[in-house]
Amino acid sequence: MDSYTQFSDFELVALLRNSDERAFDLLFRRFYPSLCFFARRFVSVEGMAEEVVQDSLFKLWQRRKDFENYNAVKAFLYISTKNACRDGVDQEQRKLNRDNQWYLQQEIMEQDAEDHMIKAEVLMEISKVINQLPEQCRRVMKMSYEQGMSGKEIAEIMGVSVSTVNNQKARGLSLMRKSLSVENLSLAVFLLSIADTFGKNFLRN
Amino acid sequence: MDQLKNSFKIAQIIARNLTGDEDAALKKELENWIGQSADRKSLVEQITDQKSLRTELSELEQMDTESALLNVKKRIQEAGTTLAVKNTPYLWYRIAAAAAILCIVGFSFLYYSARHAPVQISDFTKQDIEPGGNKAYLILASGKRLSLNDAVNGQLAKEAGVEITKTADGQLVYKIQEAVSTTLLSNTIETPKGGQYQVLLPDGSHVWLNSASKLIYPVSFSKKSVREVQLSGEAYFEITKDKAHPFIVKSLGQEVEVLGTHFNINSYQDEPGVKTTLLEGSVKIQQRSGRMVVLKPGQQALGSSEGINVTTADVETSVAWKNGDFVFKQESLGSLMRQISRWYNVEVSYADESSKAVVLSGYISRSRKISSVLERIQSTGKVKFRLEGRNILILPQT
Repeated sequence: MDSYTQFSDFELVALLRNSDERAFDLLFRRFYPSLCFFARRFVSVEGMAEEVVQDSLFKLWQRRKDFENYNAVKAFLYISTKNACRDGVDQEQRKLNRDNQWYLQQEIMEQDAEDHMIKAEVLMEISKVINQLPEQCRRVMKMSYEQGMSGKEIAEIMGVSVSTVNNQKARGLSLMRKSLSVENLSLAVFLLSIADTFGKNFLRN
Repeated sequence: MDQLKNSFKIAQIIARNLTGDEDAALKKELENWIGQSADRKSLVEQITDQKSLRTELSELEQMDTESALLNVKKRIQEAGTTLAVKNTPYLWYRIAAAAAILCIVGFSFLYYSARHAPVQISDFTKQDIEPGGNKAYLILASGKRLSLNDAVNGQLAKEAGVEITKTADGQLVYKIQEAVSTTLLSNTIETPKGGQYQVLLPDGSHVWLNSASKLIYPVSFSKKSVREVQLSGEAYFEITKDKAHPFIVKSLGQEVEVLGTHFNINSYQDEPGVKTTLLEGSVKIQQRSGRMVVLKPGQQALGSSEGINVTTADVETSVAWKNGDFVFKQESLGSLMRQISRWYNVEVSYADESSKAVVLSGYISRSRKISSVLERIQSTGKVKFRLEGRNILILPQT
């Protein structure tokens, strides 16, 4: 496992500010899937969501010195992804207009964007903590959470007893709860002006 | 920012709950947040639904994060080297070349703009028109006419032996109670221009009625060997299977007979023919003249005085109205404006009849005001609209 997972979110952002590439890699791996999930809610053109998200993460690196805390990073990623989706849709629209077509994607409604973001964040949190679990525990949780397998099925695949699977599940859940600690939440207090600017844009756009 | 920050926090609390967390303070906070609107409740239910959670987590799992990371790192590196380039020997050539390209691009842009002068968009929002809504009238066998509007009137419903309920997506459904009498009388449901309605018949069949349409149905189905209704206008049917009692829809010179299936009938008087589109099952269409065809799913029949023409249907387009959208694929402006006229309750006239033949494609939600629709069509540069009250005049674009 990447030793960087030991760092708190706050420390990761500090490392990012210091141009630490491994901190960037970790944040990239953490957010890329959930941001793609988020972007796919707005754009349907094949591959466009992925392109937009890669662009947002590229910009995150370019502006790495600007971020004071974890929430500012998240706000930046979601807002720039959402805006790029909207602009991408506009481009598609202009192209269609030239071809004598008229077309209107459902406007990206603020409420929808917020709902999708909450959903994407929940998924990110869950998959983040699953991926931080010790090997055997992680395999059990993945089979159980992502593939919906029963304890018995998992036991058969892994060649262990059902009670071992149940123990691993309980251990996994407890470790996940710990990783999702309230401490992370209290960091929300550290908010600086840059985050505020993004927030206003997010709400306005 | 506070709202955004709060959303992040809510997401964290929901994630914790999913791991079986019992922290009372956080639970309370989530409950407070949920309590602020009904939408939030359904959002949280949707997020925490085990089955969709599983599908979504595996959607996340399947994303190719590693090659995406490689892509971005390559970009970062390229950006880094480009910035580092200094004193390149051919820098001046490059600048000159870039300038030349800029000039060409600039001129062609000007040329393009001059030829395609920006379309003057009139401001329709000053006198905008709201989209249609759930509006219908119930005409009882006695001739009594009752309004079934968005506002549900419990007493009215009781008297007429119907039940009006709201579906999850906010649509009003009018459910007809099976009458106990042996009467052979009929009731009518009629939508005005700018109205739509959903009807649940006593046999469980579901009918979506589009604007300016009318459905006549018997008060009781149980005493009859066939379930027969009459339609004018447009409706989408989901018919409950009952082999012993075929379902028959009579409309404008034809009869559609089904056992149990999903289909759409468009039989407006001002359309060129009666269009029957089959989504599921099978239907038999018989014209008054005796001509008959059997449709397969995905087929559409256009019935007119010249016979019945069967083609492959564009199902999405045919039932878009029921899903709350306008979808047009290579459709004439004339046909498009007829739909707009019914939904927004407007009258359409043409300064030049030939505009009717302009072909357009596109889609837009039916929940938008008329200004959005008109602006969008106008942006193609093919026609211009003038909106006065509830009248639209179509001018050719010169």
